[in-house]
Amino acid sequence: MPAPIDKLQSSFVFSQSSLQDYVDCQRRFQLRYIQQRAWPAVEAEPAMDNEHFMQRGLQFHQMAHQYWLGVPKEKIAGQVKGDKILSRWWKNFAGSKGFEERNFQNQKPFPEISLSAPIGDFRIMAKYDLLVIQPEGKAIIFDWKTSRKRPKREWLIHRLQSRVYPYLLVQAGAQLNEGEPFKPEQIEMIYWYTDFPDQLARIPYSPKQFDEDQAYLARLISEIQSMGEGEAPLTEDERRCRFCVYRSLCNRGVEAGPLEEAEGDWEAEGGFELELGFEHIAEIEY
Amino acid sequence: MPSIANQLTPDQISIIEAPLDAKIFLEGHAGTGKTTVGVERILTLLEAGIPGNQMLLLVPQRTLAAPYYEALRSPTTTAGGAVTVLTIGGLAKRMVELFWPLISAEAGFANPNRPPTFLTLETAQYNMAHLVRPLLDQGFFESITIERNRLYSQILDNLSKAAVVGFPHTEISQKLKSAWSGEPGQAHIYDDAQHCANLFRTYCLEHNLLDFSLQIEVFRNHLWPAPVCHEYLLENYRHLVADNVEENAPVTHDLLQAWLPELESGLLIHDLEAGYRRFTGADPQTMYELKDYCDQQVTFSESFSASDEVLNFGYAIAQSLLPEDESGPFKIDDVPFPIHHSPLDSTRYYPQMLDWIVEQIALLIEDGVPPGEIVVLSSYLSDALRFSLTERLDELGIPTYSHRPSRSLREEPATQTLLTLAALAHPHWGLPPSKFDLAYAFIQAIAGLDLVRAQLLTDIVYQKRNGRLSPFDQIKPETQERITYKLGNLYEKLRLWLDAYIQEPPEELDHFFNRLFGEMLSQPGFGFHADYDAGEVTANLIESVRKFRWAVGESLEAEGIPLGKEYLQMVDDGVIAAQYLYRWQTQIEDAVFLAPAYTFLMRNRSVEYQFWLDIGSRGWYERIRQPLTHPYVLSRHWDLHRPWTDADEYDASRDSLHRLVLGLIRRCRRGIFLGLSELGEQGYEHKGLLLKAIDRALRSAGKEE
Repeated sequence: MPAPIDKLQSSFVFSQSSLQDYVDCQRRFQLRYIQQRAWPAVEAEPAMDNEHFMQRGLQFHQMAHQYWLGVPKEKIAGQVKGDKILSRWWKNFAGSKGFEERNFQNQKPFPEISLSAPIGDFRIMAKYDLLVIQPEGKAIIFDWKTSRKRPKREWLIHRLQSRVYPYLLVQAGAQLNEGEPFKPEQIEMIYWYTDFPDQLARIPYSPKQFDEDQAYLARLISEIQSMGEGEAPLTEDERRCRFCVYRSLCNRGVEAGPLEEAEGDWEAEGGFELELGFEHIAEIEY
Repeated sequence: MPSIANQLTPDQISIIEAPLDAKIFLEGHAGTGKTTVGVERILTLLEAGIPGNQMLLLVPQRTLAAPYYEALRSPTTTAGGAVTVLTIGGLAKRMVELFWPLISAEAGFANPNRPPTFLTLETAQYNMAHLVRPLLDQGFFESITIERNRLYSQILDNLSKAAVVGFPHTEISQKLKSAWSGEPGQAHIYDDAQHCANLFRTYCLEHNLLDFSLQIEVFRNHLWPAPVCHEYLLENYRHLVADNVEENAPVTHDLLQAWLPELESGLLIHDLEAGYRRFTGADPQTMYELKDYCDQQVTFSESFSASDEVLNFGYAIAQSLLPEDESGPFKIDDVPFPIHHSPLDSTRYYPQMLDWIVEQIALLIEDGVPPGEIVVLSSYLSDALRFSLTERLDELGIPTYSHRPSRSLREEPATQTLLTLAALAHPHWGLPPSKFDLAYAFIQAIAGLDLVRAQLLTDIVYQKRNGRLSPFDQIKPETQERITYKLGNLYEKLRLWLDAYIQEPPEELDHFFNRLFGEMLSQPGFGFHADYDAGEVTANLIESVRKFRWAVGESLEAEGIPLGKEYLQMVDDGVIAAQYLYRWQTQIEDAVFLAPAYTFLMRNRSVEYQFWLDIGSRGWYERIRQPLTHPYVLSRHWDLHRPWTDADEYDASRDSLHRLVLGLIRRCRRGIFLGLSELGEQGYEHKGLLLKAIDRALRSAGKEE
């Protein structure tokens, strides 16, 4: 068995989900990323519904990727004939005027692209579902969301994903923009919900937000770097523990919470977003 | 990361800073700074503005990418797109996933509109077992004695060989039979193996299952030629660095031949004298053809790793092994060999040799050698050997880590506990656990419960006949007191939990384990609480069950066989959970590394001191007995109808030992400690080729009596 690790390894690569974990619960971050503890409790009930939910999410992301690579729509649709939910999601996606091929004729779509940049003594990385660079230089970050609930915009704005993705595009996107770094005001993030195809959540970026994010992320990483070897504090919001696999380790409950209640932010909570590292990029597509 | 620019040689710099469209073939022995060039070349391309997402690093095995990962993760590396790091298997799987709807029908899959299922080694073995078991009853393979799971894995291995070498899988038996030089009557086992391979391939196509061999074949035959996939690869990966190309199989070399002319730049790195993965199809010979596809060929010869003394020792052994080979730079200088060996008079027995090794390691560390600069290498690292060494070194406070490729999941106490409780919770499977197994499970499950109390409790509460547990309060008060109320209370919680589970429709086995672990065993008072090892083992078991369910769940359901029951029986048969990989282990930075020699080589790092354990063992060079497959005969270079003889076997052994010794030597900076005992780990006397070669080398150099 690997010996316990007390400090974050210098080769650690931050992502929006690891930072979100830290913000939500420092102990969870410590167990998951510093000590790398496997603790296989149920995440949400019913377990099988949760599994299907995650699998569909993965499959949808793959289908969207196939679409951008030029696999014909009908061939993609053929894969999900027996699954009503996936078929509905795909119908919503394929039927959405916003994603029609002709709309992208003069634009550069980059599906499933990963960017990384230095931050303090570490690096930060993100894998974008779709980046679109428009002729006038505007960059749009699309993120597919498969949750049944559509959270409020205010909630989304404060998620680490909404801060890390545009920030990183400014820091690491120059190669996608003729060698010129994107200006924050050129960037917009759009969350597209498979069950709410017309209700896009648009979050424009700005120089002010970029400055705030830069300072905020640097502070978070500096805090994490200075974490001691002792047990990190547990979250004060015990509702989170119902959907955390470490709950038994922290004496914070026995049974997992219901998926229905978790779903609103389940994806962003790390429910199916896989933690990204360079080595994972090699093995895992989504 | 400190800049290494001022440590680079002019030769290295000329490759690193070569034009952005250069295609270079770089070769040299281990330790000559080739991988450093590979890493720096990627960093230079990034700094020159080449997007990382247009670069592909191809390695034969993930461990060999470690120096690249380290550099790419460094905060000093340029911001931008991420470099893709893949093995050929990873590339094939990724392409199959992405372009499945385009090629599934033409590749012959019966349900092209349904998604593919990728088989792990374990689930492939299970499916093979499912098909082959009835044939064994009909007399297949009756003339050979072999464990069943080894039989299944060798048939799978033949399919993989056909895929990576690039011949139709239907020609396996023809090739093997034509090289057979034993009793003619025995050759029919190859027909049996062929029949099973054909059956398996047909079954996979019918059920959208893809083992490693089919992933490679689909990629090679259907995806690479498909315009959409081909364009995707060409557009996305414009720059290639391929390290350790000699460890790849011919099909990878074919792919690189086709790809190189279309790439903007390429750097192929060849480790001379390597080719350690021949058993997986590695083919240094086909690799050499790649040289012609590069504009520039460079050879490095200056060693940055091994000292002249160490190299001299290596050359002496190499010369002793292959005296007829006059191509090597073998020169026996009159310098002392930097070696030490265990004293023959006091290390007759294997444990005595281990004591000597531990003593020498302690002395080195006392002299200031960092533990991370020491490796202990053996031909095979058994659990017993790993335990013996770790215990001895632990006692002296010397940190160690080991990375055996695999270890048995089913032998872990946590696994046994979970499987026993699963059998108890599913009485309809008809697999009630024995009292012994249940008592053992109670000891693991309930913290503080000792063997005596566990047996007493089991004897009273468990009736194997109906597989049920009775309540604790039905036990006589004096016995309750003896077991203790605290432990009784925990038992009762577990019993009630199991009882409640039995009342409901059964869950999938992996979900059952998730729940049992989270709601019971890892809760305060229970045995897995804060036990991270148990958490790790449970996670691995759950992963194994889940992949099993995804691969065969539907077929079993159609046959009316409970998946959980089948899984438990397959564990018992040794077909699954027999081995598994630990999650990617974090290397402890300063600890003595214990490993099989080839595992060390595939990490491609050098150290100050190496300990070679049990140098008399034949395991250093002999192939594992594989009656149904053959890495040499199934290679691209074996002539059909040429028999494989004992002389060929001897030559192959000698050649692989020669490569191994030179590979080790070139990764050693200061000295080698040779552990030998008269009697080996199994208690037999042995004097293998390595021992003899070292002996001859020492005598001819006049350095030893």
